[in-house]
Amino acid sequence: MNISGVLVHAYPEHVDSVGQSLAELEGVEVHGNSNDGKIVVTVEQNNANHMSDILNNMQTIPGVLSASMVYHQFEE
Amino acid sequence: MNKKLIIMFVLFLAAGFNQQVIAGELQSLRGSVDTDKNSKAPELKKYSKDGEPIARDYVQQPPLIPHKIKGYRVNKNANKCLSCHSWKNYRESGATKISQTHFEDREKHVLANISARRYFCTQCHVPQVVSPPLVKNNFKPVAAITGE
Amino acid sequence: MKLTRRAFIKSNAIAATAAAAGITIPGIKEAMAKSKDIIRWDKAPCRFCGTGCSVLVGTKQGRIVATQGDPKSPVNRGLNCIKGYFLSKIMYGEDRLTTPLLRMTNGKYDKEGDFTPVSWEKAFDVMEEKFKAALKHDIAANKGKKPEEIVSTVGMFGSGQWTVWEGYAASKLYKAGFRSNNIDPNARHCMASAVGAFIRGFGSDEPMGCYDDLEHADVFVLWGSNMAEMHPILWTRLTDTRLNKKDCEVHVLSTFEHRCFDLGDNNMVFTPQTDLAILNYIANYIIQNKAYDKSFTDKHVNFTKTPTDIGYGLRPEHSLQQKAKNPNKGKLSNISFDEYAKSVEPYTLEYTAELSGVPEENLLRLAKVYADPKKKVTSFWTMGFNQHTRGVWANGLVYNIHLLMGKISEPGNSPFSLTGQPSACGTAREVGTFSHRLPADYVVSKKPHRDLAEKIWNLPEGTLNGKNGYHAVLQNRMLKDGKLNAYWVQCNNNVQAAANINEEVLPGYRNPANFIVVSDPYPTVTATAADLILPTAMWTEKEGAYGNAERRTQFWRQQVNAPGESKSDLWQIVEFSKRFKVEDVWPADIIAKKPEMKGKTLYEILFTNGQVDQFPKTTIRDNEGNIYANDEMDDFGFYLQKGLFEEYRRFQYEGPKKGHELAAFDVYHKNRGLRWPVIKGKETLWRYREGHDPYVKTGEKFNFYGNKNGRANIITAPYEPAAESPDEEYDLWLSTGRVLEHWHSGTMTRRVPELYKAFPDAVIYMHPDDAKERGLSRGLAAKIVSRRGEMSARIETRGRNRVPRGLIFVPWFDASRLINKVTLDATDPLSKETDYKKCAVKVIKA
Repeated sequence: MNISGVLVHAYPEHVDSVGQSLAELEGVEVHGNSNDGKIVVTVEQNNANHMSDILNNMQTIPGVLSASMVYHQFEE
Repeated sequence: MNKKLIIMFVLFLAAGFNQQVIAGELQSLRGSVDTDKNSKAPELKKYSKDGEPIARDYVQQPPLIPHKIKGYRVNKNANKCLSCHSWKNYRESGATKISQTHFEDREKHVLANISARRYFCTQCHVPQVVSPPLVKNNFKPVAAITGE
Repeated sequence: MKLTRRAFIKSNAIAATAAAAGITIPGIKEAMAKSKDIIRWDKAPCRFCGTGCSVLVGTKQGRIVATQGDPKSPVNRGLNCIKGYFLSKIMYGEDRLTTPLLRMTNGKYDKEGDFTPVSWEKAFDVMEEKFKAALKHDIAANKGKKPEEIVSTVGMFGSGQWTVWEGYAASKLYKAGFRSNNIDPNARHCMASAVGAFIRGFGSDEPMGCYDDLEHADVFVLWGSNMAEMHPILWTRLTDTRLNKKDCEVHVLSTFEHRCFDLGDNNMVFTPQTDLAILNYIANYIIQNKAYDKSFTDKHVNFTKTPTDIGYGLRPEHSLQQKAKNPNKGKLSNISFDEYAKSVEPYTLEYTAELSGVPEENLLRLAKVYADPKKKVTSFWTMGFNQHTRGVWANGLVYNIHLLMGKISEPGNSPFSLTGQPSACGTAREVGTFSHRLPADYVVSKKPHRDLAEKIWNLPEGTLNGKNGYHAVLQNRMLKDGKLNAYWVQCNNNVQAAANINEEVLPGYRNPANFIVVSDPYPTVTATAADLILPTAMWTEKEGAYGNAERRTQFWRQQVNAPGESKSDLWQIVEFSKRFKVEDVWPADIIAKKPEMKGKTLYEILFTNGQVDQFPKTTIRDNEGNIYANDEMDDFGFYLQKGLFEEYRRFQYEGPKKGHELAAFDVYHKNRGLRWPVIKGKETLWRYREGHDPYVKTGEKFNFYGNKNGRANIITAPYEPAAESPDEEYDLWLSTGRVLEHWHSGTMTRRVPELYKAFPDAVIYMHPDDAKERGLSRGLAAKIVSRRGEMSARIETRGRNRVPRGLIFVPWFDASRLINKVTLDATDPLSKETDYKKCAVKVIKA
């Protein structure tokens, strides 16, 4: 079990569309956002996919300024 | 200072501050050796040999090192820890892999390799000697408090 | 609601991420609130070193359950060192003191009695009686004396780990209330030499640069600073820059190899004390090669010299003091550039290499990076320079190099003195809890400065004592000599920390003429040497503020309650002030100047004076609506911390000195700290520099405005030998210091099982050949013997510290291995800071 908390920062006007795109990624759940474009996301992974790939994918979503991992827990 | 220092320990019961008095000694971490006297050197304590990961009390706590690190070199040319714990090598070596939090720089850019600021492992991860604690610690993890 | 393990981890992930974003997520929060697993997170600066990392403290049902690096902190960006990660456990050692303990026999105070639990009432009764007796003596002894002649037999030893308001309140109680300047912090052992050099060089204390220099420099030079262990988070930033920036170099100088050498590009082990010669060699190299920035020195620098042969801060009857030509002298006199150049001329490459034992090529490489105008150089130093019998000189000599090159006060070009304690800057230095200081760089010996303090504190004119009090080392000597009789120790462990314990420390504590009070959370060796122990709230058991080494002031809220009857140092100071009427502490002629003060208590004069009590009781909330306790507010009925802080700020705005301005109290509860001077809400990153420091006018480029003429002082000083060097009998140098896993005397960290087991006992780091020569080897018990005392420990010939032949290193965290029984109480004669890095010992089989 591999769970991360990711803070995605998007342009405030794109928050909704970014949220939708994020939710389409595998293992990603969107939990809420602020008015200034900060989106709280969790990522559940199996060991095969690489976290940095997922973060990179997030950063390529139009309207995303940055995506950074705040929290990570790995348990067998 | 030769005189024995006797004090009463006061126990606080959970229900309030009912006092129960027990005679005991007020001791510093020196134990029973007076401060002006010479205390004999204890044996060098041994670091634990390879073992299972050591349980953590909360998720933010960095894992302790469950093995000896004698002779491990970590310098600007080489990092012995990575030879087992890196993403490349952990499966083969059966070691705990480095947390994904370590692949980010100060500015939160995601990196392909371990962040340079995390390079010196022993700033956060330390091995443990085989020894009881010097003083019991009454810290309780969340589960112990909430009764889970 | 019982969560599955998976849901629990996910909830944690959400909560942590939301906290980092500073936002609340309505849906999640409610769901989480139902969970038993929700943890309240709030920021606090770390309890340990001067780096000033911010941590998030997790609490649950009134207990700390976790701590983690604060992702929002500009200092540490989510990282902690091993000590910081275990902050959660420092308050929970089983032997926490929970009630006052008084030495008694048959129900009465007896210096030779046994520690017995007493009430606070009883504890303060006895303390009051002893302090009043001493103060009565003082009033009689000072009859008819001018402020500059006042003596005092009461004293206090405080701390660079006090919160800002604790230091302020203690200083006010002693200096204004008791008319005693015998108050000094343990920062004397740590930072006094740095302070001395800042004042002499720049007329204003604390660094011009900030931690951002760590990302801007091309070259780092570590002078007597083992950052890898002592400032681990700054080391992570330095490592980051070194490994990522092209051509970045790290030069390391020390008297033995330590962990910083693992990253070093130019590693130098020098013979103790010869750092003075190396520093002068670099200045000489710069001058010989005409590399200095003449336009800078012409406009912004004075050349001066300091008296030499100044002794070693020992007792006046000591032969080394008797031999000194100019004991304790430090008055600067102006010289020309040519005279300065001549003064460093003897420090040639050949001479310096010979004296220091450092190969010529290494010295040359070091000199070249300083002399290269294109390379941005940041120099760091800590105790290697400060704990040095020529510490003020050494600090000054590194400024000389930076000033010659104009490499100062700009990003990456920075001479940077690092602090050891979390609030050595914020409390000890800025509040001025030293025996010669007042807040904001004012001093007790100058009448206009005392006038300012008397105005702000609304005291009768002439109340303040104008004579410098007893500094740390002198306090121990005066206790032993029976001239300091009522003594209070807070927030430090000086019986373990001070040099020459058996000859110069313990005798004063156990002198029958004295009454010693120690406030501590735990039974330290200092507490057990006291007559009265007061159980003390620590860290987040109270509301606090610390100031770190880059001038950053950081606040925290009280997170949990202290155990049993423990009270904060602040409560103790303020509550004790209720026990004194002005008639107990001031002579009639002083009281007559403000007759309305007649019959009033010190509590009324100092703390309910209309300023300190001006902020009423309120509910303390964070921006998520969580409510926090403030025990002092409940006990005194007003917002004591805020009142003290706002009164203290008047010193920064109402006197002639500029550049120490702090923001208003409430601001700091909302942010991750600000670096002073804070002008119009904006912090200052580089002082004295146009474009960064608002006090430097357009076109000036630099203005060292702490000095009247706006210029910094280059101060020439020669190499002079150490107080004690190895000889035939005592044939080894002893250097002492810390280790990563333990903070200072180990009171907190050794009670955390994980930290204790990481480095359980102090050992003797020794070269294997030196060991062999003495019939010793790794793991064998040995005894270290000096002219003053002895200590037993095991030999360690490998591991993190690799010492050269002729020198041993012993950490001082271990209460059972008191290395300070061996060390010499020699100090820098100017700063009065002890040299813990050099004395002569022998090592024999135990």
